[in-house]
Amino acid sequence: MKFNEIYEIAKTKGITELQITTHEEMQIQFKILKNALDEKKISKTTQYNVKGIVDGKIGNCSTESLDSSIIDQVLNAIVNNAKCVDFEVDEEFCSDKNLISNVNDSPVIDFTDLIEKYKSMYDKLTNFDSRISSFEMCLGSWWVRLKIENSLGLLKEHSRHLFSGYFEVNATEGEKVTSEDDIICSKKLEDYENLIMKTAEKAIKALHPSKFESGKYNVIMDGSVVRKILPYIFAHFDAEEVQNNKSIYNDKVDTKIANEVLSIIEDPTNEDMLGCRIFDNDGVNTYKKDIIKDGILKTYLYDMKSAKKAGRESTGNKLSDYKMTNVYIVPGDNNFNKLLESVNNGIYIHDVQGTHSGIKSETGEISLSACGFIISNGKLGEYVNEIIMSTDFNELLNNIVEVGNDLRNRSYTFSSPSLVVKDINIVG
Amino acid sequence: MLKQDIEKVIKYGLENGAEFVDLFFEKTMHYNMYLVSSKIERCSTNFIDGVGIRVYQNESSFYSWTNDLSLENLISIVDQLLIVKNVVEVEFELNELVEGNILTDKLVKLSDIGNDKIKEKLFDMNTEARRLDERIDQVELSIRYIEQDVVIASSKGNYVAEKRIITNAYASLYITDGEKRENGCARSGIRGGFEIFDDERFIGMLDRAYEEATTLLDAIFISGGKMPAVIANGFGSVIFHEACGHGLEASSVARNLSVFSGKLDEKIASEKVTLIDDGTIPGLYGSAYFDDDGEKTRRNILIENGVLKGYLVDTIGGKLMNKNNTGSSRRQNYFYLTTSRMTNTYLEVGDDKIEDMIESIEYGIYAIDFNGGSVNPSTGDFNFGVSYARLIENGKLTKAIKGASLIGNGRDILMAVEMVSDDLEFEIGHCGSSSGSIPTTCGQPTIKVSEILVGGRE
Repeated sequence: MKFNEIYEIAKTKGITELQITTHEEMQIQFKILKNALDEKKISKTTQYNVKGIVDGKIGNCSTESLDSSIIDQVLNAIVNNAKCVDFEVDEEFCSDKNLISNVNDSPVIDFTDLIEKYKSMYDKLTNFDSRISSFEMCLGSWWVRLKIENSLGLLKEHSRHLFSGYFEVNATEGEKVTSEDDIICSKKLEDYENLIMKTAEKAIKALHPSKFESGKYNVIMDGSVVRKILPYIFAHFDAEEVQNNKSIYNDKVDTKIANEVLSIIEDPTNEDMLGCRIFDNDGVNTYKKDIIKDGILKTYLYDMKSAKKAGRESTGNKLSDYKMTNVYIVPGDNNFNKLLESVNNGIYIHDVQGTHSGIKSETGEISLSACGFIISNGKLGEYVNEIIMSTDFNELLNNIVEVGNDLRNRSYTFSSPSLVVKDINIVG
Repeated sequence: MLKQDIEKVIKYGLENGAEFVDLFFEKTMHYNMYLVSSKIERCSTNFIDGVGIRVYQNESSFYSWTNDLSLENLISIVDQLLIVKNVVEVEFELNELVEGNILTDKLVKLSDIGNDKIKEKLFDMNTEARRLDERIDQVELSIRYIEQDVVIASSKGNYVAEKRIITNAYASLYITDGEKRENGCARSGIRGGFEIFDDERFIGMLDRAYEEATTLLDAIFISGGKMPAVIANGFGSVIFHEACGHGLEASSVARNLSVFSGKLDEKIASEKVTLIDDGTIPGLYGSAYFDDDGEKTRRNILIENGVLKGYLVDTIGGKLMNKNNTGSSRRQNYFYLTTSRMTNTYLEVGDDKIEDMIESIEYGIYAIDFNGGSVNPSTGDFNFGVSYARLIENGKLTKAIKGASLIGNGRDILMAVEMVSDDLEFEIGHCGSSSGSIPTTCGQPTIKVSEILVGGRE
């Protein structure tokens, strides 16, 4: 059914304003295991998020169809849900009538040649080192089109496309099995062979880990490690969390919460980055902003609801997942070798596991299984694993003493260069 | 979709060279109500309605999902999924539809209760929580209800249907005492609906969350290191879920990507360990009548007195391993290709005493509640987060501890189980893997392990 038809029915149920967000997605993905194609997936789905204002409150319902057979059920759910919600001020929809249409069709991707190329990767790896025992690679094309329209005249649409996936290399020697992996996230298909070989080298080194004595160490955290931890910290910058007295950064805007070497920017409109969103899920236009500048917290992140409650404008942060996109730590001047020299003796953490269970987001405690390399006299040494890195949000942010220049944009939400962090507890 | 149309789709696949074809139809309603700051912050409903189609050829699975359920579209999808087309003559018919049900007669559906009663319940709980202690300055309560209707049809002839309902609840309390602020959480869940309000674990949520929060106010950090550990009953069983549960799934075993591949009838754990996975238990969060391949769920003995007796096998894993499906195929929804997963996984009771476990330890920890964990089945390396624990010093429980994770390797930790008590309890969880996030239960009595690496801070 069309928007106007649905709106007419909605009005008969007491819904005064209506908003529909259409999320259309197409995916194609393949998985290689050793030297065979193990899985291939294709899909095309459409989902609708329908919101209605009833007596000044927004009711919410998602559905995969707007057919006449289901629309009554959807609208009734909106009315019931709106009546349930308690909110001290009237909610409203975005009324920006400036049309935005930035849509490219889903590209037609033929993965045939790529599948054949990476089916031969396992032979290359085992020729490189016979201890390589498994190779798994998953790669897919993901296109999404988002359209948001409402009864106040809002109409915006935008599409984006990414390649994403991962690969994992296992090595075996006797009973010992090691595994190293990395993610893929890019706008163009790249040649991943070098990255896969580097990952294989790590898996081989991991077969003979060194013992590591517990203590406090200066560490270099790889950008991929920082990227896994940042979302938990950033949850505390969500204005809704602040307003509900759940944030450990309540009343901290314009105060120093991190070392002055740290600056973090959100740049949603940057089309060169992977998470470009020119409007958020409220329909509010996004914009580039400093979140932390020289260690000082500059803003919380607001959607229309939390902004209304705070008596201010939205920052365009009604987004899925982490409520932000294209967030990155501003890179410093020094390359990785300079960071090694700066640490001199310590540890380079290149991966952590179990963030969903090892980070207590409510209070900021971090205790994570980790692996990496010993830093000795400014150089990378033996591999270490089965260690636990423990800290907390405040200690981590304030103990960052150096930011590397090796920022790699490999995630659509958070990206980071390598960081030097002093005095981190490591148990081995 | 009509039975004859489903038959046409499957037959098209078989006629054109597929070795196996199955369809997973799903119509689901998700409902959530969330309270914070003594207000209902969110109340939302989500309807999904679609089908996942799998075609299996040359030991590979090809999968598509769509919410366009027209016959024309589904046949077109099968056509796209086939990598090699060999035209053969095939006769195919589905069996008669079999409907399964594991829900109890105490079931209270969302349509039976309505928003107002649920809201009233959350407000009552909010009031009760805030009365526990004047230091409590924030209460979060969430209730989630999922009502799913599935129809599964496969080229084996399976044609089954089931209504599945799960309900879970979550409580989180923030407590401030001077400069210190802590948080305690608790959860509960059942295979069923709003009869959860009468469930013992639901009723006890606020007390459990409060106990955690107040214990943590006085908790310290320890230096960490390798030490013996007593691991409490209930969610402590996440240790088995991570240490061997995933490693026994056919998805890893069949492709020789598990440390437990090829180890049937070998000793992989201490004699104290007997581990069961049972998807048939009514009321438990991970139960269902059918698995997502359309096979009946069952009770599977995985480890018996330390000896590996079985794996968790789905239909495709079974083809690769030359074994029968064990009723273990599961997926989050039709967006996901199904694979072998756990259901309700628990350690059988023993006869050791908890007090003996504690008395036997000079310096170690008693891990009381947990945040979940993860594992790499190919290496066996696992981790799990401890929300709070107590130090054991000279055979006695002393200070409360926080900020610790436990890590180890599955093969080592299974052998390190020294003592098993008889206080079996279950806890719900949401397990994430290649076929999405699924509801599971894990359970155990209190156990003692001889050594595990504990994280800490100076």
